[in-house]
Amino acid sequence: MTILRSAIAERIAERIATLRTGRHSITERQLVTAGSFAVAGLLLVLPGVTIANYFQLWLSVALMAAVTAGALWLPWRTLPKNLHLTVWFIDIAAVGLLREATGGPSSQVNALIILPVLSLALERGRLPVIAGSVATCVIYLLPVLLNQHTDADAALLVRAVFTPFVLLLTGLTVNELTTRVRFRMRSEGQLRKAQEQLLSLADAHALELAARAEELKMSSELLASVMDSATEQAIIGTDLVGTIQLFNTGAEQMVGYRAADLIGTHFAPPLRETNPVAGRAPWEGHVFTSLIQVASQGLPDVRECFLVLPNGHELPSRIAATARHDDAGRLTGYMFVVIDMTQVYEVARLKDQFVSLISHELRTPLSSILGYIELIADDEDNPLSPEQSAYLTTVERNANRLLRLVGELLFTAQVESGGFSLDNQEVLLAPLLETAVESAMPVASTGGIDVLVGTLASARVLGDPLRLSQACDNLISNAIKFTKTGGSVTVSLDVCDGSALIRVRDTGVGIPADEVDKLASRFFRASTATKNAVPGVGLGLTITKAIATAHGGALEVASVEGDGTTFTLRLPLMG
Amino acid sequence: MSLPILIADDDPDIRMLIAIAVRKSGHHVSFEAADGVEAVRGATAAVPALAILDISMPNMTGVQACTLMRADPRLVGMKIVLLSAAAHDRAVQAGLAAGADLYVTKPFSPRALALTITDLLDAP
Repeated sequence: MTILRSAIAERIAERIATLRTGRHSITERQLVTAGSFAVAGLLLVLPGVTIANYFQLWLSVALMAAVTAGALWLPWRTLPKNLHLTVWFIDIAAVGLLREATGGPSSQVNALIILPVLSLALERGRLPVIAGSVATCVIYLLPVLLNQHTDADAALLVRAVFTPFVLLLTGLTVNELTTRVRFRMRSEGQLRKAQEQLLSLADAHALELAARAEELKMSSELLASVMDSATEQAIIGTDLVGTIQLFNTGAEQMVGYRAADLIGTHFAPPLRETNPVAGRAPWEGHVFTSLIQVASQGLPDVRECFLVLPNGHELPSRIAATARHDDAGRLTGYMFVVIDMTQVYEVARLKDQFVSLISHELRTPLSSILGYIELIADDEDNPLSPEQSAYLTTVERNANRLLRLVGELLFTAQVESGGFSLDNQEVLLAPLLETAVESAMPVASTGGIDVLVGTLASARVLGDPLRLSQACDNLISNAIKFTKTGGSVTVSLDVCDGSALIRVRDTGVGIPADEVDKLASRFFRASTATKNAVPGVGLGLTITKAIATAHGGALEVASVEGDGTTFTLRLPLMG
Repeated sequence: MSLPILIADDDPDIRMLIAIAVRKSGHHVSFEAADGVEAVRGATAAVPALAILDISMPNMTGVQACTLMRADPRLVGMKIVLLSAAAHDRAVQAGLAAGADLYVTKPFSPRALALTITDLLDAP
């Protein structure tokens, strides 16, 4: 049952395919003609029917049988394209012979001729049907031309021409209708195919769209939850001109405004910058323009400022501005992340207070120690023995070391809190360097280290001589500390591109490359320092860098582990 | 001629060190105070030639005491030296603005302080 059903389905499919391609089955058409021919043959045996010529009758039957067999069994698909047309012409010949055998114009089977002509009409183009009509005309006229019908009259001639003419018109009409039907079917087929393709495309798009919408929804929900879970940070998103598009829960909590009231308004927070950076637009101008000045160039920008709250309270905060871009890389807006720095500042303040207090409390006893050491050493009435004198020198040296450390701690605390100021004046660097080298000489010679002075160019800077001396002393004493006996320290001063370059080069232990960037961090000590037991706490370079920065200069380091280090203090020359 | 000098510091050891420096300078300590209030009271009573005041003292700082002394017409001509462990510029500026003649940072050398006292008092 299933096999039958599938066979029927296949047959229908094949039929549809045949219709679609316009190729009518040869077999089907031939069977219709042959069937009609057979019926006509049966009618001939009825009483009263006269057979004029049995030879023609049998010849026509033989032709019809042969051509039907050919239509049924010949492999038409593999044969030349138009060869099957011969089937219909042979049919015309067979029907013509039958007509002739059964009385010619008076034959009862005259109408049979229409079938092969219609078969030709179903072929593509008009030529087959025209040829068929002509062939019919020839078949009808042949006996007249061969003088078989001696009683030929005008009516016979007219019928021999008129019948094929009517056939031709009918055939052409059928051909035209078939062509139209075929065209319409083809068009419908193409349309259906296009519709199917469109439908499948639409289906695919709809599925994709739904998936995307789901992804987008999830992503949006995730983003919203991330934004809102950042309750300690205010996250504010704006478009290019500063219209607020995003205002998270953290922002609401920080400034006390509701997102609904601010979204769509212009982002102009009341801010006061704490440490304005030279060369940047001041806050006093348009706040949004100032904020995006760096970010609009694609660089991240972090600034510290006071955010003035609606109640007038100033909230110490850090604001980071970044540019937002779309998939094509076009700038679409800005994101601002504001962090409440109150606690950080409070911790820093307490730390500074602690360091100041400790420093002060340490300096007071140290003042006593150093003062009384001096009194003992200076007591002419009770001179010390050489041994006592040596012990006392050690005590004094260590008290001074402690004092220096306290001083460094205090200074670092001042740098951190911004409480460090410069007593600026015109400073000639060469004499300052010479003094620094001189004061370092005793320690260097004790350690067997040569301190060489290279070129000392004439350079004037605007700066604090005490702080600059401190920076030079730090660099030279550091170089000596890190150089082994027999090594050397070279100090030079050059002028280059509007800057004075103080270089201190040593042949010491060097600094590992991955530690160079951390050198100026407080209490950082290079691994080579700890490995070689070089004394120190890691504040000297922090202080030197702070002094360089405060003078608008920089501290640069170049080092090769094992070969030595060169520190360059770059200071802007006086205009 | 030995002149009277007032010294004020909350740390007795430092006070003694200052006293030694005073003696070395050839002058004498006329009043010792442990805080700013005592120092002002002592200066008003004894009218010294010089007041050596530590800045960080309880009750009243050296700078406040200095300001009060400078406002007192009886103390016109008295020299004032401020002593402090804070060496940064702001502290020095504040001290000098209050009317001090000199600012000496701790730790100090007794020998150098003695010379400073001599210079200050013997100056015309």
